Amino acid sequence: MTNEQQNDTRIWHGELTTRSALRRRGLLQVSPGLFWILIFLTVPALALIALSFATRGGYGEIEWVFTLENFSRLAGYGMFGWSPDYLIILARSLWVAFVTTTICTALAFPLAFYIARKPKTTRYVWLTMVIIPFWTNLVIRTYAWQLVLSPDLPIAKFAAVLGLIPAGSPLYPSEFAVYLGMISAFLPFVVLPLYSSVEKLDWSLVEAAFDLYSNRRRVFMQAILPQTLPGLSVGAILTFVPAMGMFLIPDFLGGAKYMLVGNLIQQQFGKSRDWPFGAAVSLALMVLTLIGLFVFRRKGEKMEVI
Amino acid sequence: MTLEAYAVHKSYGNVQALKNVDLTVQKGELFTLLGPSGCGKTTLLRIIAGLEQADTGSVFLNGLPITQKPANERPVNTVFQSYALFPHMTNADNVAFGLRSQKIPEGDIRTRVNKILEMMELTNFKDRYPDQLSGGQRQRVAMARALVCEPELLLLDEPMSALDAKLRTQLQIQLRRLQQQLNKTFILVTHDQDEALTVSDRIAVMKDGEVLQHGSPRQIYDRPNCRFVAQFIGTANILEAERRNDQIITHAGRLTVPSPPQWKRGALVIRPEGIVLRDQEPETNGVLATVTETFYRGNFLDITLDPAGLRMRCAPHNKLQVGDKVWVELLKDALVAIDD
Repeated sequence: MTNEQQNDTRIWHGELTTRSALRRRGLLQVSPGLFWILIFLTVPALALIALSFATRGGYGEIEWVFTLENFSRLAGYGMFGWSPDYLIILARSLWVAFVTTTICTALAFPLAFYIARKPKTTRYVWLTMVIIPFWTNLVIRTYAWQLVLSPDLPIAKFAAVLGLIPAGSPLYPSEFAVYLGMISAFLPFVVLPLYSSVEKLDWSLVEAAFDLYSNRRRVFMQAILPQTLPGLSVGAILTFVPAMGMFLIPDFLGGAKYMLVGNLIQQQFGKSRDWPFGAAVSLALMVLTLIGLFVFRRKGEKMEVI
Repeated sequence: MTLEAYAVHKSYGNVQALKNVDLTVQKGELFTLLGPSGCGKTTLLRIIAGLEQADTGSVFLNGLPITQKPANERPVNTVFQSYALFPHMTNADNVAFGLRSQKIPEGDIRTRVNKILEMMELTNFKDRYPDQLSGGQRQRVAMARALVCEPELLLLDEPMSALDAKLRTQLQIQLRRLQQQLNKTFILVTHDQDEALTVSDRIAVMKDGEVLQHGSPRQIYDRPNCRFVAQFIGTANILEAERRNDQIITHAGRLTVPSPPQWKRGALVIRPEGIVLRDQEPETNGVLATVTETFYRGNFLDITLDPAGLRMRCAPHNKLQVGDKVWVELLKDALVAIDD
């Protein structure tokens, strides 16, 4: 039977129909979604790519003159020779996102287990407590950290007593404050998917591993981790991707010296009015994020077959 | 390898799962913990495995106390009810798991794994994953995974419950053969009395956290010591009874038993096989009965009799009809006196 004949053969699929009719209807059904993705994802992405090869005019307008200058500038080649400033920002963003993801995961594991082992009635109270911060806007939460870290409050005073900061100064802007803000913002994104994995955990596998002479480490690596990997990878992606592009928290808590790629992009599209360069940085961020995800997936796949 | 447990007590909140249970299992024995769900048999098994801590009491393996030892330090392995095979590992890796935990050289592991896979007829499935196997094959992988560690004691937690009836009977016989071939001590937990009778050297019947009776399958079946054991295992006729001197009065009439019981009021137990058809009135324990129901079961005929609703079993060629009057004898040696 040729392909076309096969497509026109009448088949039962809740009604008497043909394969081609089913396919037509399927296409119709997904078209709103496809249209949405086309308009709001594909077109802007293409525009961004085009923009990154354009030239900034004298007054910040866009001139459609093809150039690679934006990328060479990002790589550090400027008017006054080579400087690694932009590359440092990119590397730092990657590092901050990585550390945030790692710490969030490390914190989320015990929390997810703690909640999952609570009786069903109180479990939802705990989950609600994890979600509550979402009810407040991130801007307000970040301002709140400024207050918490301000010189008059115990944390900064304590740090001053320990000699970590001069007396009477706040704990921000600092790298520490950025991490604090990032972790508090992203922790729920790891806890929730991880919790859903932990809740479904087959404890008999844990017992089997224990029964078969495993120490705690081996029980975790062989019986718990493979089972929680789906939740863990969702949580890590949900943290890593937005953490790469975060500009609000480093802006409020990191100060001018602690710039991340998100701030750089914001600056180019805002104050500097250099859209083509901003587009080039955005593209670099996108590529870096994709590489990060790819590496993460490879690592995850490897873990599953240990 | 003997296992001894003394005064093992375990509560979950207000529920007493085990009430001061004592247990002794001899080397090379297939010992079965039999009882309905919630009788504490699995809890006892898990305490022996080290997966659960007893509130009080102690467990000794070959004379050495193991009560405080965690599961991964006990020379005891478990076949779990759900088999608990690692889904992300091939069957060979599953079987090798316990050996790898013990950091045995990889070469030795391969030899031992291959040997046990061959013995369990799993060689063809070694590179597949547990999901690709049938229930019976998975059970064999679980057995292989536990046995490859050469445990002093193998614990089996309802290993047949997930299988269909035909396969179960077949695997029971295989389990018995395997145990005798390896000459290892097995403790089996089951709620299936047929399984317990088929495979065990000795059985402990449990109810509500207590061991009611223990003994060989024959002792348990022929000489139940209480109403629960009599009814839980096989079919039992229970006759409420009253003792007058050496005579025992029941609904079925006056009966004599080999050794008269101590009680004034109690009950007599008789299995359906202990009741036999007679052409005329027998010398002892004869009952003139009316057939009230017959059930043709292929290889035998089940009959219910009046008085006392006695159930008996006879050869299928008997052409008994409902309403027929027959003489039956309640064999003296088949009568067991119980006091509750």
